[in-house]
Order: sequence, then C-alpha cells, then structure tokens
Amino acid sequence: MSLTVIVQIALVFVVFTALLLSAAAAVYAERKVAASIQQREGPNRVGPGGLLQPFADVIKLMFKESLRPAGADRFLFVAAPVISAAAAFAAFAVVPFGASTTLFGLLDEPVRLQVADVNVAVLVVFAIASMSVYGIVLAGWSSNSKYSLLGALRSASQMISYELSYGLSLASVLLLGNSLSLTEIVNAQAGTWFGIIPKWFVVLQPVGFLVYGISGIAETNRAPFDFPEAEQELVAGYHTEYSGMPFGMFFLAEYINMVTVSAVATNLFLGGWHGPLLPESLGWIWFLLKVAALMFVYIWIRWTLPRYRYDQLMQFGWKVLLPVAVLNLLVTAAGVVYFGA
Amino acid sequence: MQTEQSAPRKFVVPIGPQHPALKEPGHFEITVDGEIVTAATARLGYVHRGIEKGVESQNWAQAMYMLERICGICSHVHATAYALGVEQLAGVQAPPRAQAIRVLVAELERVHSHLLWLGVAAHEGGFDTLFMYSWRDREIVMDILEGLTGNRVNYSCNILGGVKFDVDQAQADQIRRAIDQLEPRTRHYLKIVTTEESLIGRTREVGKMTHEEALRLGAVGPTARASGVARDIRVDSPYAGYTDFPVRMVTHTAGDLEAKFIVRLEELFESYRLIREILDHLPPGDLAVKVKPRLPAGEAISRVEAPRGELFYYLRSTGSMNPDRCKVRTPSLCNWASVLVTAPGHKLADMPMLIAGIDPCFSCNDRLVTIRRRGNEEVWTWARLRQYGIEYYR
Repeated sequence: MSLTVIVQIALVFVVFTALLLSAAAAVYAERKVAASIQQREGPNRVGPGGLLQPFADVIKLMFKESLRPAGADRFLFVAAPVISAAAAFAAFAVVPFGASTTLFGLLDEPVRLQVADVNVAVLVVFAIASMSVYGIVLAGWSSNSKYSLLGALRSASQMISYELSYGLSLASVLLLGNSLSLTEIVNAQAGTWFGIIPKWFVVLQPVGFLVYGISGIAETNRAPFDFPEAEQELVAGYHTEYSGMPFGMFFLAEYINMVTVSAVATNLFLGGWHGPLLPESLGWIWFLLKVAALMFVYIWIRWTLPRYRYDQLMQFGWKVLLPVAVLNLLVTAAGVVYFGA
Repeated sequence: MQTEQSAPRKFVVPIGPQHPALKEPGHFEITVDGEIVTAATARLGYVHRGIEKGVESQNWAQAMYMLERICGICSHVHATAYALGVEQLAGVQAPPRAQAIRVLVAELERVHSHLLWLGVAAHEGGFDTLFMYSWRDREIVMDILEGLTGNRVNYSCNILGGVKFDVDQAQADQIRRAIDQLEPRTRHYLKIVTTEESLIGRTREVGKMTHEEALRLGAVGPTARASGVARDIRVDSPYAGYTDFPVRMVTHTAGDLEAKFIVRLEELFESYRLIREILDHLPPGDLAVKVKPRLPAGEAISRVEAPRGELFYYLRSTGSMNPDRCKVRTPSLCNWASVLVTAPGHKLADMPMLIAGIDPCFSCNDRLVTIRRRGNEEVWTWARLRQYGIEYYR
C-alpha cells in the first residue's frame, strides 16, 4: 500500500472526526453567542468556561433510554435518524477544504485536502442534501404522533420549495466557474482585481450569495425558518418522539448540515482557501475562518429574529426568492455570454 | 365504533395539559384543515385548588393571605379587592396614605406583569431574545417589590383597613431611579413592536376582534381595550387611591395582536407617570384603621382593575368571624371566549400567540431557597442575598 493511499484513508478519519468536533464546537458557540446576545451567562459549569458542555451533553444522550412510542413503525423509526446523520456526513465528503499538499515533502504526489474529488461535486452535495429530507419525513411518519407528522410535512414542503432557489443560486456560480468541480470553482477565484479586491464570486454574485444563504437556512431548518420544530406549536416537530442517541443523531445532523452549507458557501462564493497573507499550503486556515464566520452569522440570525409563520415562508420562497434567483441566473448567463467566462 | 364514509375525518391537534407553549396546565383541542384552524375548544380546571371554599374556614384576616395566592403574578390586586370588600362590610375606610400605597404597589405590579407578558408573547412567536430582555428588566421591578414588601410575589402589602408598611424617602428614590431606567427601555420595546417587520408579520391583522365582538364576548382589560372598548375600572369607578390619582385610559381600535402589544406597553408609560406622581404627592397620615374581627352581616361587591382586566369579588358575612361566601371572578376567565371565537381561520402557528395574547394568568414561583446548617446560622442582608443569587450563575 502506497503512502498516498494511507494518507487518503487517514484523511477520511480526520474529516469525520473534525466534523464531529465542529458540531460540538458549533453547539458550544451557539449557546455562548446566544447567551451574550441575550445578556446571560451560557454554559459555564462543565470545564473551563463550560467548554466541555457539548461532551457532557453527548454522554448524557448516550446513557438515556431510547424510547419508541406504541404504534411506531419499528424499522423506519430506527432508520430515520441514521439516514439523516449519514446524509449529513456524506455530503461533506466531496467538499474540498484546502489546496493540494505534499505534507511538507513527505509524499511524492500531492494529495488534495478533500475526501473524494468528484468532478460533479456541486451536484453530489445538492443530491445528498436532498436525501436528508427523507430522514425527516420518515421520522415524522413512523413516530405515529400528530406533532411529528405535522412537523415532517412542513419540513418536506419547506425543503422542496427552497431547494429550487438553492439550486438556481448554485447554477449562477457554475456559469461563472465554468465547472461542476468544487476544486476548480475555488481555483477560479484565486487572485485579485486591481490588487485589492479578491476575485471571490460573492463580488460578482451578491444576489446569488444572499439567495444561497437564505435558502441554506431554510434547507437546514434553522430559525427563523425552524417550523418543523417550532416548539410553541409542535413541541419538537419531527423528532418529538425521539430520545437518547437517535435524537442525538438528528441534533448532530442539524449542526453538520450547517457546517456543510457554510463550507460549500465558502467554496462557491468566498474563494475557499484563497486569502491574503497565508501561503497556499496553509489555506485551510482561511477556510476554517470563513466557515466559522458564516456559522456565526447563522447563530446571530437565529437569536435576533422572531420565527416567521409557515405560510409567510412559503410565500417568500415562491414569490420572492425564486423569481429573484431566476432573474439572477438570467442576468449572469447574459453577462457570461457578453463578457466571456 | 362508527365509520361513516360521509363524515369528514377531523385532524385534531391537542395542546396541553402538558405542552411547551403552556406555562400552566390547560387543554386545547385545535381542529385543523392542513395548517388552517377550523375550530378550537378549551378545557380548564386543571389547577382548581378550592380556595373559595377554603376561605370560608378562615377568619376575615387570614382569608386575605389565602386569596392572595390565587394568582402568582397579580397577587396584590386580589388582596386589594378583598380588603376593599371587607372595609365596605365593616363600614370603615382606609386612610389616604394607605390608599395611595395600595395604588403604588398595584401599579408596580402592573409594570412587572406587563413586562412578563411582553416576554411570554415574544417567546410564543419564537422571539426569545426579546423575552430575555423584557424579563431582565422585569427583575428591576421585582427587586423594588421585594425591597418594599419582603417578597417577590404574594407581597402581603394589605391588611384589613390599610397597609402594613410605609414608603420612606430612600425607597421612594430607589423606585424613581428604577422607573427612570425602565422608561427608555419600554420605549425601545414599543419601537420594536411597531416597526420590526418580522414581528409585525406575526401580529398585525392576527387575532382581530372587532369592537362588537369584544362587547358580545365580555372581554375585559387590555384585551378589550385593544378592540376599542373603553372599559377600565380605575377610570370607570375609581377605587382606593385612584380617586386622588386618576389614570388615563389607553385604548386602540385595531383589535389585533399588535394592538394588544401597543395597549399594554402604553399602559406601562401611564403606570410610570402614576408611580412618580404618587411618590411626589404621598398624602401624610396613618397607615391603617382598626377593623373588628367580627364583621356585621351583609354583602359587598368590589371591583378592581388587575393587569389582565376587571377582577370581581363578592363577599357575604353573617356577622361571624369568617366569610360566609367569597366569590372571585378573574379576568383571564372572561377573556377565554375571545381566543376561541377568533381562532378559526387562523394558522396553527398563530395559536400560541393568540392564547398568549389575552395574557392568561400563569403562576410564578418563589426562587428563594435557604440552607440552614445547625449551629452555624447567619443572617444575610437582602443586598447580600441578591448578590449571591447573581454571582451563583457566573
């Protein structure tokens, strides 16, 4: 077995562990940021400054009994959280997070910092993200509970409506990048205009970025679009009946999806690992910073806005976001034809 | 079991008695067609405690402390309504200074109750940050009430024939400072409620109740005033200190949830004004008159304006040491019909806010725990205890 293969396998483990840890970090950040927005203290008992709180939560979840309501579909009830979590992990596999590296000259051929370099990575992310809706719908349906069912139905219609705008905003970037590979799209954003403005697609595609961001929030069922789990109406929505680790998997999937949406946004709009000051081999630092910044915006939005109403979300999705996305795509296409890619 | 083909199947969403949206047990059955509510029913009585009957075995003075515990938020208005009824039976009148202090505490209570409601209503709309802000500000009033009376809830400020404590200069200054702190913040909340687009989307034209409906359904308090019903016991039949310190009634004509927000927040400004005025012109004199333990036979009715609306007390005496009958009608009960009637046609998502819109009475709990070690007792001052409570969570 050549060293490259070993490094590739190691990379899989690194990405998997990093995703788990990033979910833990996101939970901690969420609680601390929320607390400071609301003038509270946040977690501060477990570990210094409450840093170990997410781990305490995970241990607690693992030791909790996992209940299954009477009348629930045995197989699907267990399968649903697995689908959700698996889809969340799988989507990240094709996301590159750094330039090729030889690990300080250790390897003969450079390795890409990416689990799988698929030449249609954008489509893969998109396809797998749509898979996660199955986990939610099946969870809602198999629970044999009204709150779960309503939550799942809301979630399904919400995700389907927003996937259109999501896809259209991606399409406009694909036109600019002239490729379906995330690595090539990132590399198309290297360099600067006039030496100051980075050649990030967010500069050319501000509308696309906004559409992507908003539908990304809806895709991941985050506040202010968190109707599937609107506690005031539907208790906990599709995962009302879940407890213990099955619930933990939904929870994990939600945060990993946030990380994935932020990572893809970084690659598509914010120039991926390209940035000033640092050499390209350390580009992953830029990547992490950009993802962290997007995650912060996610959390910030959640704790600043009241929840929209379900019908308001659907109206906004179909009557505002979709036309804007279509228009943006047409203008981009015209621009690409006129100026050349 | 019948299975008729013709009868359409109803999808009923149960809310309560245990539900995250409810802070107190109640049961609602909401029939929905998709997301649209087609019918709503309420079942109450989960926290029936038999207080009215219990009062009959207490003497006149003891009964007040039991009645005060009907509501954890507006405890003072219950005691005031009862004390006014007893004084009516006994044929005495509390001295002016006592009447003014009763109003002072009543208005402080209104401030804390309305701020609490603002938070709960925002929370029901998924706006938890506003909830945290308004509850933080509510602590300011709670501190004053605790400083004045020794309790955060159930202040026991009234006694039959007067009040049991005076307000000194230091306390008056503290209250003035607190009001100065609260006023700009309340103005800020009013601005959020009337200008923040995402919140307006959830409140404007939602739960609209017309003037006629409000009259027909017998709505009371801010719920009725938001529909343009000019009904406020403090204005209509002034009691206690409200004869000397009149209030301006706040009404709104829209009748929707936004109007309920505006009416309650504007009432806060009126309360601030009134509190300042009372502190500036506190009449001198005694704090209480004597009331004999046996009251002459007779009946009395007293009405006061609780933060949630008209609170009604009926008392009957047979000339003995204890009440023969005590009937209480709380404002929340009068307002339930308005929720159930306005609900159909709204979205399921509006229901928690509609229910919260009438400010149904939620009990709150005392947070004080004392741990006493044998032989190692020490007395803590109020300030130290409060500081301990804050530091504990750091």
